[in-house]
Amino acid sequence: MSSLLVISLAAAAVFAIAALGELLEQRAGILNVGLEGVMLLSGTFGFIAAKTSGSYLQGFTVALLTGALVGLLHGFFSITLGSNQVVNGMAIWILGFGLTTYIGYPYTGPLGLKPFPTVAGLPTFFLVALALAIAIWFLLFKTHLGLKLRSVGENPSVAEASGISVTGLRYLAAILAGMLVGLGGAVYSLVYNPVWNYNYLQGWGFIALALVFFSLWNPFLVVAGAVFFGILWQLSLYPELLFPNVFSRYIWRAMPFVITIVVFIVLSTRWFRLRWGATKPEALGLAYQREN
Amino acid sequence: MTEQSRMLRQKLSRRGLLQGVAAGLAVPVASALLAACAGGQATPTTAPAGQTPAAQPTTPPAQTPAAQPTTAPAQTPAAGATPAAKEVVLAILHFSVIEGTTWSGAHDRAGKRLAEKYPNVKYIYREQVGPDQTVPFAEEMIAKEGANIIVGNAEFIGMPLLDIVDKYPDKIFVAVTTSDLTHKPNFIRIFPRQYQSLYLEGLIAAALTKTGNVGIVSAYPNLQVLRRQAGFVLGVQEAAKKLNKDVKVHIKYVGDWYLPAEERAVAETLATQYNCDVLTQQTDSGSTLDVCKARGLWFVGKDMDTVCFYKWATTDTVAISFDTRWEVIYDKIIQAYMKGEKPPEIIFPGMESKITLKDGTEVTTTDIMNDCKVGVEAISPKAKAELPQEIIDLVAQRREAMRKGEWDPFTEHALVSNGTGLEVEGLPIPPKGTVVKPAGEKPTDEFLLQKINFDLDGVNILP
Repeated sequence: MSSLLVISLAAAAVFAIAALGELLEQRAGILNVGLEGVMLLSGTFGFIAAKTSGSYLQGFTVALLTGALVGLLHGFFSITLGSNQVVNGMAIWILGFGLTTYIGYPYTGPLGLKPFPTVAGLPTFFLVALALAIAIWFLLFKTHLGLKLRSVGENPSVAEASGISVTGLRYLAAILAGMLVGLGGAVYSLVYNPVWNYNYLQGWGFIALALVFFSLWNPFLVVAGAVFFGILWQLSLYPELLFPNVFSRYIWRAMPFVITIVVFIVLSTRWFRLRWGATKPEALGLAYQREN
Repeated sequence: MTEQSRMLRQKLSRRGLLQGVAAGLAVPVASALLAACAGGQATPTTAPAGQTPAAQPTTPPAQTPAAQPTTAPAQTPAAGATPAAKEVVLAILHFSVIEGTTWSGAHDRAGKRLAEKYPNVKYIYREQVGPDQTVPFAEEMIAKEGANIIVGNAEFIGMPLLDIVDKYPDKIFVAVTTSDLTHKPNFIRIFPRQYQSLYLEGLIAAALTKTGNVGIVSAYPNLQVLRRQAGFVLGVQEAAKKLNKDVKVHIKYVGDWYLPAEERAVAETLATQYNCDVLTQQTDSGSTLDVCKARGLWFVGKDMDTVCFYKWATTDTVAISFDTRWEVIYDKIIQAYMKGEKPPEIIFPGMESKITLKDGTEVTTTDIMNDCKVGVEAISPKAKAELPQEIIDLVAQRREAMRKGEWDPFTEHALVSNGTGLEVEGLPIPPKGTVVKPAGEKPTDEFLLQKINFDLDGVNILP
């Protein structure tokens, strides 16, 4: 059972780190639905760098830089050009899928490095995710910079009128988010399942995206949701370990998604929407154009 | 080295081209177009004879001469001889990409080996072909490139060819069979008897396990998977009996051929919860191999020798693997076509069939292979040191008998149902304990290809 929990936490780390990045940028009003693409690109380039150099450090560095570049690209389209953020995100996803499929093939197969070390038997990057959640919470809710970031996500016109550079802060958020999402992709491809295959993420980026909405844009709830989904996903593969002879395995495999539907039903209730409305960044996904 | 340099330059040039295109992307729409070109569409490419990816040597360099008898009991009649100069264009539609894959990689290698062997045989291909693309691509290859033998390398992309077989009576269409066995004089169904190699792997796996637990990370119950697993399980059970060991085979289905994260999770759980110290897979990602590597477990491979051809691991992890030589099957079709004859409508060869490659190497349809070595020599040196001599001798003896066509595990052993498997229309899963085929009775090809819809008695199918 403990090993099951450890594997679940390893999966949760991937979801949590990527979702924390997305949360940060959504708090600043930028919506990137192309998390899957950012993770694929960063994970693949990080994998190639680590495999060719034999160094985890180089792998993670390349992944972070890739994430930053893709974040910048998304920022350029969303902030400078003011184009539809959902369309931009989808394009990044398609770009990530196509480009990594093409470039990654010669590197198909296991990474070949020694397994990434754990800390007291726990996945290292789960602890990193916890630390990041605390840091992001502190940044957003306890610092002046965090207040400004949230303000550009809530009402950029008022923020601009207060002397805050909406464009600058949104770019900062997009780049930082890209780096975190890229780190999530690299944690998957270098640590969680260090084997490159085309489209290896198989939708994990979209789960991370959904977690941000579930979390009410709260970093700690992101981690909690990631752990919950990680355990549920793992349990759906081996339900007999906890609940022998209860339901068929096919029902268990559907369970994470059934629960997702239930969560969405809860989200759609008036009570929840009122609460949700109070939490959701008002300007999320909306392009800001400075008034002359 | 020259060949590798050429391939490297080619790869660099392809990457360079792509980078140039990527750099020119100014709008997301362009990136979508790029993605469509790079990831979602087939690559119309003609493979020049002799061109071989650097990662895939055309011949096993360290093949043990002693492991290959000089006689060829069931050698294809014209194999090794130069056929008449009738032009043959072998067109293979690959369901996946080629590079880095064990299934399409083996088909591609087969096409290249035949193009090397016969000057009048040209090999062309398309990658990542979906079922809706099969017919258009096939007709395009017929019209523009003169294809006369057209292969779908998986059943789901091969079956649509049935729609055009009557339209092109002088062409030969070929489809790998998984469960359907529809065939016509110019619609040939093929599959290699990989279960023979899997049986030998099973012997080794059972002897290697110290915990008495062998795990299979499997795709989903289908006839191809059930037959291949049955071959492996027969080997495990025979070796366990011989060594007086209690060995359990745990099988967990992940739901599809390619689910890297699920495959990893299942492999981890087989190791941690079911105490498996030997794992094999009936899936396509490298996740199970990586789990074995990370946890110091033995891995038993499938379809292709990935230690030799892809360098994915070493023999410290891969105890044994097997290789599939589709060229033996394609050669039978090419030989028939050259002579103006109709090939057999179902081609299901095993270790008894072989061809001689251009460099003189003999290869059988399937064989145990690891680190470029074949036969008993293919067993990892580290694993071999742990195996009782009687098992090594048994592997050598059974392999030799299968190469001579004198022995087959599915003839020798009874096939007893576990009561689990795949319910097929008109073919219910036999109740547990049912002797579906008694020992010593030779099953028909149709039985082996279509009727093994059950797991063998004694396996543990995890829910």
